[in-house]
Amino acid sequence: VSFWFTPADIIGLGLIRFLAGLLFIAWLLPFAGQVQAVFGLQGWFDAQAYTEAAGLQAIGASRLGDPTRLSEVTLKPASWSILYLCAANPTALEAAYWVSLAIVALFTLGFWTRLTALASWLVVASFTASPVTNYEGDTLLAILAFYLMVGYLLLGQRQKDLPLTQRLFGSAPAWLFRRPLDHSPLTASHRSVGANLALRLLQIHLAIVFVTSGLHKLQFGDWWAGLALWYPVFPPFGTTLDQIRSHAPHAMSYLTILSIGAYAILAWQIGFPLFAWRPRLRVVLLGGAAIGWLGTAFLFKMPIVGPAILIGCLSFLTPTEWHRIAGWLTVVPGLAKLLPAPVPETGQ
Amino acid sequence: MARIRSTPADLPRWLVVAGSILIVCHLIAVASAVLATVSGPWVTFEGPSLSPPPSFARAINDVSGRYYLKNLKLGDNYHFASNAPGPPGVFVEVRLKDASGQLLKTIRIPDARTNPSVRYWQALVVQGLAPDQLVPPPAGESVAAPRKTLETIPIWDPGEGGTLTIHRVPEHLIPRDRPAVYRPTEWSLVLARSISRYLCRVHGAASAEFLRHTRESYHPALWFMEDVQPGAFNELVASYGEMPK
Repeated sequence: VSFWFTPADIIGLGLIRFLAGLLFIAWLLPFAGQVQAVFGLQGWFDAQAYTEAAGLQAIGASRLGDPTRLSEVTLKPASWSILYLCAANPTALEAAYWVSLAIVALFTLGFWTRLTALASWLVVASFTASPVTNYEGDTLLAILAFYLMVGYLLLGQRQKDLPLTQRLFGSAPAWLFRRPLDHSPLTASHRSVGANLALRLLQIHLAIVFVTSGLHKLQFGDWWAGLALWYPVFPPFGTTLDQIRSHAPHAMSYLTILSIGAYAILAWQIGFPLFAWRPRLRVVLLGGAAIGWLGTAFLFKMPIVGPAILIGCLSFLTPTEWHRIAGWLTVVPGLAKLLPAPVPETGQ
Repeated sequence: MARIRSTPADLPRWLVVAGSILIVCHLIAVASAVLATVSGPWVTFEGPSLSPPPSFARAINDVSGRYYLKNLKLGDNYHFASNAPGPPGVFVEVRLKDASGQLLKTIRIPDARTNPSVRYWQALVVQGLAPDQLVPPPAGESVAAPRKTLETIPIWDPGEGGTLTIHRVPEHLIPRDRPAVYRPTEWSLVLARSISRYLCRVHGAASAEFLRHTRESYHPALWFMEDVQPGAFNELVASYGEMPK
């Protein structure tokens, strides 16, 4: 019970919100100018394709166990998206995109967080709904957005003297600007069961994701052989046979390094629950996440996955650790004014 | 200054119990989505085979996945495609033509001129075109019902210059003289048609010839081989044919 229902300083939830919000913006912004093509019903995946894909989902569900139909079975299930309401109207879709960006920006900055958390989750869920792509970046963004929404919906709801506007919309702003907050009932220097619950759910869910992904890798012989990283190092259309053969004199050194890397990934993912909740092993948690960011960005060319993993891992930090980091950040000019003060351990 | 009054002590017991039940149900739903997944292919006496998910997980996920996780966008099973090492390299070439069949423009996807995020999105889209399906040899002869025709399936046939082309054949006429017969996935056909329609609309073309270029991943064994079979890593071009606007 204490794991889930102990009130926690909301600094962790606030900083995760800020970092995740920046990530949501960095993910959405590059689609400016491509909104119709990527999300429109006259785009790459048009209304007719949606109809045809819906038929395939039904086929896929009935072919479970048939190895020749595996690709149909693994199709991403069709789901809701608020974009479908306006995807046929280019102007409305464009407007929805920019409004979505504005909502996420407000959430990131901490304005009306109860409302903008819910809206940001709707935005992330809607923009990741397309069945055309199915990759871990979308999955991790959806997880982050969902638990942040849970946290901000619950935050402060048991406070009896909360004004109705704040009960409905949340505080404005919640974290980023400290001075206005000092006069608000919902300041960063508070503890909340909701904040703790949301972060605990996020932690458990991420642990399930990492362990499952690690165990899934073991279904492939190249991971057991330590060769899995060889393939992204030498991509088929980015490398020639001669280039690969030129490395042959150092083959054993290469393979040794790559196999150590592959097994380090497996160990980090499968062993994740063993170190994630231990403050003494933060270097393993955050070091692994940081290396993972570099690896996914430069080796696998995935722009969003690395930062999403790192932000997810930061959710394991305790309020004390967050305040320590905040203390380090005060050396940055101007930042001291934005950071919250620590909560005394005896605070209710 | 007002404080959030929420400690374990002042949380009503019913709230803790209700919250605990909700948490447990939520995590069971997430875990069942993970477990309710086909696994494999595993080595069996009948050859490589996928194994079905455990029945209990499938039973739970049939309900929780469909009505709960799917709507929260948390229904993933975390068996990420990127976990499979060595996917083939893929890019698409679309030749847009006018009504008279004259080439208007050739477009390559992923487009190197777009920003990295959109380019990565495009790469993910065309990656969905890459896997072909193995077509099992026909078990016997099929006979069409009265006033009905036999179902045909699209298979890849080697065409001019080694380019694969789609050829529709009745199921009982699937070639038996080849080591393996492959077909494009239904998903890739949907995708190819949709992308072609979009590019035709945007560029005012009447039709689009859709070509998929793939190359198998290189294998580390290349470092230890004296000679590599010529053409082993040649680019394979597969034509989805001419798609109308």
